Amino acid sequence: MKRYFEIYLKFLAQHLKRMLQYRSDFLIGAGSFLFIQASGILFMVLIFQQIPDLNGWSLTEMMFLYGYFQLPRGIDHLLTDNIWLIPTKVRRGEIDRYLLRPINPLFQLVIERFQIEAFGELIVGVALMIYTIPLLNIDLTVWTVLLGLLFIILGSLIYTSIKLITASIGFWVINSMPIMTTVYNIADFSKYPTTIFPKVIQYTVTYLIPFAFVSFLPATALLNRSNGLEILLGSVIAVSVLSIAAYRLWVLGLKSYQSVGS
Amino acid sequence: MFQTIKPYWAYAKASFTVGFAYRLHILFWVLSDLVQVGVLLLIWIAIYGNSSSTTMQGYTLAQMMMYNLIIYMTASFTYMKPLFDLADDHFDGKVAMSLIKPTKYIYEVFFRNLGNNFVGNIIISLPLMIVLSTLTVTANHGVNFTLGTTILYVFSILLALLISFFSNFIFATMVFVTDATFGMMQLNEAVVRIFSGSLIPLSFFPGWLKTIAYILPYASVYTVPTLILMNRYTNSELWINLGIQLAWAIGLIIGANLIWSVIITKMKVHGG
Amino acid sequence: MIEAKHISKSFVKYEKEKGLIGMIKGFVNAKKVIKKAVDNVSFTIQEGEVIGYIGANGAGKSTTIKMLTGILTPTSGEILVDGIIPYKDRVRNARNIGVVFGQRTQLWWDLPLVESFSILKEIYQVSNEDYKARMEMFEDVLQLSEFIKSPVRTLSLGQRMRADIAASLLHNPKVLYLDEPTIGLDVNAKLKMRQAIKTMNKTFKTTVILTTHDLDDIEELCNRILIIDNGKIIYDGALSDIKTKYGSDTKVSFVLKEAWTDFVDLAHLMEVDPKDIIVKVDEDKLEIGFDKRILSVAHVAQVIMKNYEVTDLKIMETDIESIVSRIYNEGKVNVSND
Repeated sequence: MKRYFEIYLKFLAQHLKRMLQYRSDFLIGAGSFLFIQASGILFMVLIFQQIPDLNGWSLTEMMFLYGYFQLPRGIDHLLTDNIWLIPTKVRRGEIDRYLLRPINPLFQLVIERFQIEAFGELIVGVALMIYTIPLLNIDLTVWTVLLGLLFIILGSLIYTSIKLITASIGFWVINSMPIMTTVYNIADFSKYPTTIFPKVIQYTVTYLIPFAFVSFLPATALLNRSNGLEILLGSVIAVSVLSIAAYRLWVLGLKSYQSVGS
Repeated sequence: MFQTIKPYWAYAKASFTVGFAYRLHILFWVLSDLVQVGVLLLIWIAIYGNSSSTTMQGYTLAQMMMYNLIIYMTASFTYMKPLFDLADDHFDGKVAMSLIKPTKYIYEVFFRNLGNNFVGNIIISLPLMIVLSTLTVTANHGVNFTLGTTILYVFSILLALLISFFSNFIFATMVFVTDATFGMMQLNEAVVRIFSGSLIPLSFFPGWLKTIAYILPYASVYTVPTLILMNRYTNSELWINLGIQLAWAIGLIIGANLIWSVIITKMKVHGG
Repeated sequence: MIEAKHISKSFVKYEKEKGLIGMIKGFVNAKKVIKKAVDNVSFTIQEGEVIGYIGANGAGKSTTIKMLTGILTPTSGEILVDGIIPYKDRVRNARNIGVVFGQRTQLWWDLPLVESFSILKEIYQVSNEDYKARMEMFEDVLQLSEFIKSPVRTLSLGQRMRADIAASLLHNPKVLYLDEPTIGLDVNAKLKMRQAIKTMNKTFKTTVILTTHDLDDIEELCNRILIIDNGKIIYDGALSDIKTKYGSDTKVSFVLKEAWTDFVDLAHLMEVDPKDIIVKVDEDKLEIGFDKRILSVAHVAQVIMKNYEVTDLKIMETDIESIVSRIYNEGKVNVSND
């Protein structure tokens, strides 16, 4: 375990070094993400000039939700972006090199990329939090903060697991990229309170592809609109089920790769 | 992550072959597009649900939904991304060859893009078009479609294609020459999205933002054709906007050629 | 050290007919074609041997190597490398092996070379002393210090290969697999590569399996040759045997001014036994195959040019492909495990 940690640190040091080297690229990349998020906020602001609230959610609460949405997504984007390349690597036979080293292949694949541009998303998220929290009815106790952080970690694990599941399909289907993007786009539903959508969508996003547990439901807990512990329980169940399923599918995919070749 | 993928996605989208081997592939591209549109539509339904009036900035809910569908379809039709051609050609040394006939190269890329993208775009827009046509006939959408405006829509799309391509071409050469990364492309996409009317109809913008939108060419690519088809322009507005489109198209073609020849000259000198 | 027992590997390919109809048919009911890339291959390799694994492209070399390294699982048969089954006990096997693929690097593209080594040290748990000693040896033989600070993507092919081989040997693997390691390299780089392999083999008794098309590689490094053709082993024996038997095959081809009209007894002209030359003629092209030890190229050329008007001539030394086809045509030579 310690070995894995040290290897990761070495890679991280290299990624950061490279970021400093290509500073302008990084700034432009982060800047563009920032801008993209800004467009979402612009949309909301403009909408709220037309309506008083959205199914009981005020503009400030919406912005809190939007900001909170960025955090788990940003972390997942930062750390595990390489998973998107799994279908391509499988096709090109680039998984071989991971199988030749005496450490976990998935670990090797993931640490190769540290998508620093994701800081754009994280900055937006944090900024929105800082702006909205004082304006809302949130008691900032140690418990709430810890809960909030915990939800963020669990949330990004949900993203990663779902990403890995759709990526691993690439072991059998020639190009699972469109599947990946479709599923990922479904996450956009949880930028908004899921209660505004028809029951079908709510059901899908809560129980089938549980993006609701990433940011929306935790946000409701933090805003005292629901029971934090219940949501936490749901989150933990979602993470457990998904991460186990994701990893198993990955391992199955590797087995198939070893049997079918590339 | 979607934003990072979009450039690649678009390229792949543009160069697939129409064959049964890719049936599943196409199905999922289409699905992914539909999901995106679906989210938007559902959000608008919710928004209107919270409004005390039935119209916002002159749009009923039905009209707003039609707006979103049409503008999405328009965006599909006019999708042109010449950056990849540029990068590829550079690798093949075709750019060097174009030194001999600088002007022709741009048009070559344009038509190649047209060929590649257009067929693909039509195919992918097909479900949307089917949905739209059905709605047009069956639903109470509050849009006054006429033959005249539909024909003008097609004409407007052609102009939009030109604007889309040449503005992107100019942007692409800048990116290419300064060796900037995909970050720039994403930035460009985000800007286009906001100021083209895809995010939200431009009539929702506050004054100063509206001004910016009208200075940029993007409104001419998406909003103008859409509003023509939806017959929301008065007669004079219609012809003014078409005129603006024409002006942009011509201006950008000239601009692109100019910039390209400047680049080529520079390359000749420095041995790009 | 390495035991391969009756290993086979089959791939399933779906054959689709041409045209639109074919595509439609293929989507509904594609014809399964089973290709046997490796067919009942067996061999035993002792510690410290340096094996040359030869075969035409597509003969099954890479597939065998992939199975030995654990990347691919055999359809049937068993493989043991140092008592470990590679595809079952992947991690344990990985610690024992070093692999160099000629076409693809195992190093990290964007990282400076020295960082790659540092990470590998961590991955394979190489001790500080061993690391130091190994890096010194690499410096001695491969001169990596010239570019050790550069990112791998900026290296030339020769530099990258030198780096790859160092990387594969850093942890002193028991077995080293090299898949076309010298392809595309200049003479200097090739010499360095071979030197590194030789040194490791001598010092640490590293077992080496080398696939290559380069006869000089085999000349310099290998003591035993395995030839695979169409998935089957058709030769397994000492290098010296092959050299004695086939190494001197030579062909000289002439383009004559006029096409041959009558039959001429060339053997008589050259004053050799008819069975010592193989003559092929096609209009104005004449090809003579012979053994260099019996007949000299000069003599053959002289005789032909004295008797005919020659407009072009080409000398072809023996190569892998012709040895392989020669051996194949002669039937399988019996395998003897020393």
